[in-house]
Amino acid sequence: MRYLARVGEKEFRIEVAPRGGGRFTVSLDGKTREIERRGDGAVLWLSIDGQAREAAVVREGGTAGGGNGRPAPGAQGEWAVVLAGRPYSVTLLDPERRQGAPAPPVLEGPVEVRAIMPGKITAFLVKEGQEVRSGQGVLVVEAMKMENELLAPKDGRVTRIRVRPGETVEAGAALFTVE
Amino acid sequence: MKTTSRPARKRGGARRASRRPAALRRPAPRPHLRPIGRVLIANRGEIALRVLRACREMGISPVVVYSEADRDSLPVRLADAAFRIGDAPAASSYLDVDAILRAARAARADAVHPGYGFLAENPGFARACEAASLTFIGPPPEAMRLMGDKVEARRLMEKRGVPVIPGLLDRAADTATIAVFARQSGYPVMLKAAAGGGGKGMRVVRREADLESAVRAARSEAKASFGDDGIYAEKFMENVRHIEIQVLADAHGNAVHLGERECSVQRRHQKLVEEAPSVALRPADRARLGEIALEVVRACGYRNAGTVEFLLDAKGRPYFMEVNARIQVEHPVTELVTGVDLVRAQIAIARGDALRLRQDQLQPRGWAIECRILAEDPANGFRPSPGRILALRLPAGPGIRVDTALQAGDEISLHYDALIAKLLAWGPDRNEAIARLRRAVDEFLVAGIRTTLPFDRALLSDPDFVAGRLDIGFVDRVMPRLSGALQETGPDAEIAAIAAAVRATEETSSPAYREAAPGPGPWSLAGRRAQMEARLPRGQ
Repeated sequence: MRYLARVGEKEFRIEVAPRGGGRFTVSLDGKTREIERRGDGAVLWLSIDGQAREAAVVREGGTAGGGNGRPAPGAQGEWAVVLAGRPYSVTLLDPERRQGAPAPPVLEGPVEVRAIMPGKITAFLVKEGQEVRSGQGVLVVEAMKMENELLAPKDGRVTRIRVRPGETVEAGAALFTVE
Repeated sequence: MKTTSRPARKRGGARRASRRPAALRRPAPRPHLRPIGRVLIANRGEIALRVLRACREMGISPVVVYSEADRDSLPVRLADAAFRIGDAPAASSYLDVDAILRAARAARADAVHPGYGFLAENPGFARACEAASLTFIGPPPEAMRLMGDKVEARRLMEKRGVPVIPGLLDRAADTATIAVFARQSGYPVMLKAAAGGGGKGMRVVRREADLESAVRAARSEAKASFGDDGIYAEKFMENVRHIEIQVLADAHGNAVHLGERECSVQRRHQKLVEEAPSVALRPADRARLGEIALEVVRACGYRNAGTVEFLLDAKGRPYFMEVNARIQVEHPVTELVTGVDLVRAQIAIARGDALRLRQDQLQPRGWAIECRILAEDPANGFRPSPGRILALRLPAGPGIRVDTALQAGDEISLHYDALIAKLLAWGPDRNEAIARLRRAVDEFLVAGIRTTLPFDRALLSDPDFVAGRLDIGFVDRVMPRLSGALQETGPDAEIAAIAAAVRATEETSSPAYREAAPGPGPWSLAGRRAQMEARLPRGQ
């Protein structure tokens, strides 16, 4: 498998070839190494350059997989890696269909606001059809007993409220639209 | 109802015949003696396990209640019996007084331990337990109420010349009353839940325009956490340290204090790191605050474990804040420096034992620090991070204590508090405690969710933290300089990228292999390999 990996500002071209028995040939920016992977599941015990490195590797966006708004399983996506207590966020991309850096979102036309985390809708602070200013609280989501206000992303009118107070939503669920 | 198998009830612990001659036995009749053979633990997670362990050590049978979400939790597995009391939301389980009392009756418990949070500081619950002939392991409801409304405590503080933070005495104030108070005392003001702490239902309000929405949010959080939407307001003080004194008081008029804890490392009024003792107190200050705390406790007729909270200004002047009528999350730091098991003490006091601790034996020894490990992502504004624990390794070794009910495979639910573990280190001095904690944070491995471990890791190396230069605004101030360590891009980025790529390859390619090439199964491959190896000369 070939990947374009991004860690912060850094980019690496990686090719991984499984050799069976937990052995992989990995080349990174042209440098090829033989790597042995021990352990199973999310914890990888990698022997790299003769040094043993332990890494906890989990796909970002939870373990449920394929849930509402979550990326479908596949090689690409965000991965959370912890090496000896140090957290890294690794983005794996398909090098053939390399995407540029995501453009800043354009806030023209209707903007749909989605839940950034799972939670329970506890209150609406505005009514459907009401005019709101950018940054004004629209609804309240409770998660882990803390309340968070979701704010209007731009000036406009709140249309299409998709949820009801008391309802539990998954991360990525559409909540309301401002246009 | 799920009931794990349990041994026949052993109730005779207190009645076991003593082998000592009668003349040497202590005088038997004690006015408040109420034997406890079985305790119902009305809580979940690490504190349920903490209480369960204390019960076991005292020869008391622990039973627990659980919500649907906690069916497979460690306290349920380790208890003598477990009673399902409802669905995952706290309102239909851990806050349901009737369901908990039904379970206590069914379990034939003698006593109820409420832990912290949920119903721990709800006088109505304490009264309902007593009415059901269950010993409530905590303060008497009347003392809890007195502490709650603070009037008595304030009167006393003023008499002693200790400043009191200006605040509303009415613990169930309406918005208009709060607005009047805020105008009089001046902004910023702090809104607090009447029925509990832990940052739930707390909001700092800096201007009148924000008051109404803050009141609404605080009420709603208080309701969700404690089943009571009562809130009150006090003046918000900045550049102060949070110092609290642990006390124990028995039913015989004995009371001792166990020194202070400093809890200035807070975010959104939620304590993140606590320690004992505090760099800010000299022995004379400790003795004075301890005396003041004991006076409050005596004046209120308080019994059991409690905490008297103060704010300490830059000049070291204490301001009385409030009394917490419960065991606190951070109680283990006090246990580590005093050697006193506070939960056992709670149970012993509740059954009428006399305190055998003397004040002069309670000097802190060494230093203890606790990190609260939360299921939150510190790199993204401490956003909640629920999910399944895929892998778990707890640190151990010299000077380390971990209080947690976490198991690999557990689902961290968004219905409850984000606290998943408490990591503590003890050392002969503060620097050694910090060094042990740093080592333990790096050993601690949790895969599947984001936790505050990277924050703790960065904090423990921060020069201001190491020097003990703390106040309650500390976290907000240092977050910018810690943030680099919360999302590393440093020297091992290459290794991290390789690890992710290897894992991604495993995940995507192995099912595909199976589909594309059914081929020989692993058993026939193994057989073939064995045949091949048998043909080869040894050593090749």
